[in-house]
Amino acid sequence: MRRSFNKNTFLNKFFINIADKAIFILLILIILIFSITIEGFFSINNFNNISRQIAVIGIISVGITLAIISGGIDLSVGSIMALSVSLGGVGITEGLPLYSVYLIILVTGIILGSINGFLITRLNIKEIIVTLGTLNIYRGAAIIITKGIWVTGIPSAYLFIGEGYMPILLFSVVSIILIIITKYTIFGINLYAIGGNEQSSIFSGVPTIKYKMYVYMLCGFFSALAGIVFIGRSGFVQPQVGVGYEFSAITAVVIGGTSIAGGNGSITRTILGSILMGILLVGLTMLGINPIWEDAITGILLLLAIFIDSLRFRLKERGLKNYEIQLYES
Amino acid sequence: MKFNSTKVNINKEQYVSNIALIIIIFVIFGILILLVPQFLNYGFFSELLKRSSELIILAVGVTIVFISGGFDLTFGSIMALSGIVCGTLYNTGLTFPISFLIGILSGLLASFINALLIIKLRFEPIIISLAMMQVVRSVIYGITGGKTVVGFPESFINMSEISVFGIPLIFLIAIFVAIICSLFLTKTVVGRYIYAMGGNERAASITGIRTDRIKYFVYLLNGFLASFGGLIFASRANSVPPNTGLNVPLEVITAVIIGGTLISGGVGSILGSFLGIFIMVLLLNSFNILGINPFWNLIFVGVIMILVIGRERLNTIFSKIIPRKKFLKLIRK
Repeated sequence: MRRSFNKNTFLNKFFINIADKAIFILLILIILIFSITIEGFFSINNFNNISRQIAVIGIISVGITLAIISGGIDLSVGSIMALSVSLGGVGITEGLPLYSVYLIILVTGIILGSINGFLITRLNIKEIIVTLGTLNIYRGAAIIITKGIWVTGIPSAYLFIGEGYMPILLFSVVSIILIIITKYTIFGINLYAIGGNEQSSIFSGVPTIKYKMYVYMLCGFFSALAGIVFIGRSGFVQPQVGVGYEFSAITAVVIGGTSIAGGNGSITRTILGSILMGILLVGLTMLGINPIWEDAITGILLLLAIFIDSLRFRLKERGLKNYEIQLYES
Repeated sequence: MKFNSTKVNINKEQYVSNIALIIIIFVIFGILILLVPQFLNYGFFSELLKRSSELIILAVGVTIVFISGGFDLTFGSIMALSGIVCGTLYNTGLTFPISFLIGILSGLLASFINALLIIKLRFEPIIISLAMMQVVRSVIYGITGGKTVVGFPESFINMSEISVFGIPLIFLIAIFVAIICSLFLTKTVVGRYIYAMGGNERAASITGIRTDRIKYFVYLLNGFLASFGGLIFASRANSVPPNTGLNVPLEVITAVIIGGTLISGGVGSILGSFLGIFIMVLLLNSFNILGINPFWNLIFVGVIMILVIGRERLNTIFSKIIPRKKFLKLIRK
C-alpha cells in the first residue's frame, strides 16, 4: 500500500522550513516593529550606530561559532578579552609603541586560548567545565594585573580602530575569512565532522586533537581582536570588561540557528544572529527600557532560540519516522 | 557476583576518599594554626562554622542534582532572589513569616521554570541554567534597582547569633538538613532511583522509573534548599546585596566535586560534599587571614576545579584501560 500524499509530513516540512528560517523572520519583524514604533530608527545615522555596537560581540561570536560547530563551547571569551586588554593596558601605561601593544594583546589571546585547548584535549575534560574554570581564572588574573584600576587617557592613535566604519569593516573582513575557512578548507569541513561524530572522525583519520587546539586558539585570537576594537570604541581599559559577553555571543550563535550540539550551522547564520542582537538591544535602549533588564532580555532570547532549535530537531526526528513508515508500507 | 564486587568497590572508594578529605582538613587546620595563632580562638571558629552553614545547605541540593545526572548553575541567583524578595516584602509592610514564605516560593518558582525548560526542551542543562541564572540575576537588579536590601527584623538577625552547646544554631540547621537528605538518598526508594537515573537514565526509564518526575523533584529540591540557604545568608549577613552569591556556583560545584561526586552522575555522597565545603571555606578564609588579595580566590578555585575534574577523568580513563590489559593478558595465555 502506498500513500500518495501524507498531510503530516507536508506540515512537518513546512514547520521545519519555518524553524530553519526563523532568524530571517525574526530579523524582519523586529526591524519592522522598531521602525514603526520608534521615530528615527530607520535612518542611516542609526544604522551606523548599530553597526558599531555589533562589531565587538560579532567578532567574538563568529569565533565561538567555530567551537560550537566542532561540538564544544567556549565560555571564557569575555575573560580572555579582559585579560588580554588588561595586559595591553599595562603596555600602554608603560608607553610601548602601538603595534607592540596590539601584538601583546593578540598573542595573549592566542596563548590563553591554547591553554583552554590543552586542558580540553590532553586532560580530556568537558569543554564547558574547562572554560567555566578558566572564565574565573582569567578574570581573577585580569583584576590582579590591573589591581582593579581603570586605565584612562589612552592615546588617540588607539581610538582610530573604533571610529567610523572601522569596526564594521574589521568585522566583515573577519567574517569573510571565516566563511571561506569553514566552507572551502579541509580544516573547516572537518570541524563539521568532529562536531557531528567525534569518534567516527577520529577513526576516519581526522586529526581531532590538533584541530580542536586550533579552534580554541582562534577563539582566543578573536576575543583579543574584539578587545582591540573595544579599546578603540570606549577609550579606557578596565578588568571588568566583557562580563557576560560569552553569554551574548552564545545567544547570537544559537539564535542564528547553529545547533549547540555541534555538527551544523554556519558563520553567516551567526552574523545574522549578532545583527539581530545588536538591533534588539539598541532598539530597546531607544524605547527607554532600563539597561538593567538587558541581561534578562538576552537570557529570554537565548531560551527562545534553544526552544526553536529543539523544535526543529524534534520535527526532523518525527519527519524521519514518518519517512520510515512510508518506506515500510510501500 | 561481579555486580556485587563493583558495588563494594564504589563504597570502599568513597570511604577512602572521605578519610583522605578528613586528613586534608586536619593538615590545612594545622598549617593555619602554625601560621596564624589566633586561629584557635573560639569566636573565629564559630564564625567559620556560620559561614559554611549556607554553603553546606546549597551543596546538599547540588550534590543531589549531580547524582541524578543533571547540572545546575541557577542556585547562586536563587539564593540572592529569595533573600531580596523576603526583605523587600517585609519592608513594604507584610508580616515576616509571610514574606519569608513568599521568599522561598519565589526561589521555588525560578527553579521550577528552570526544571521545566531542562526537561521539556531536552537540552544541555548547563546552557539553560546559565540563561536562567542570567535572567534571575537581572530580575534581582530590576527589583532592587541595584541597592542592597536591609531592614530585616531583629529576631531574624538574632537567630544567627544563637548557639547551642557552643555550636551556632544555623550550623546545626545545616547539619540537620544534610543528615535528612543523606538518609533520604540512601534509605528511601526515591533516593535509590536518583542514583539509578544518574547511572543510566535510559535504563532507569525502561525499568519503569518515572525519570521526568524525579527530575522535577530534584531541581525543585535544589531550588528550595538554595532559597533556604539564601535566607540563612540574609540572617547571618544582616543584608542582601544584589550581587550575593555571584561566585557561589563555582565554589560550591568545586567543593561538591572535591567531595567525590561525579558530574556524569550516579556516584556521590552528601558526607563527601560536606567535607568538601569545609575544605573550601577553610582555604578561602585563610586567604583573608593571611592577607592575600581576595581576587586570588577566583584563580585558586578555578585551578582546583580543573585539577579535580581532570583527576576524575583520568581515573575513569585508567579504570577503562586496566581491565583491557588484563583481558589482553588472558588472551595471550
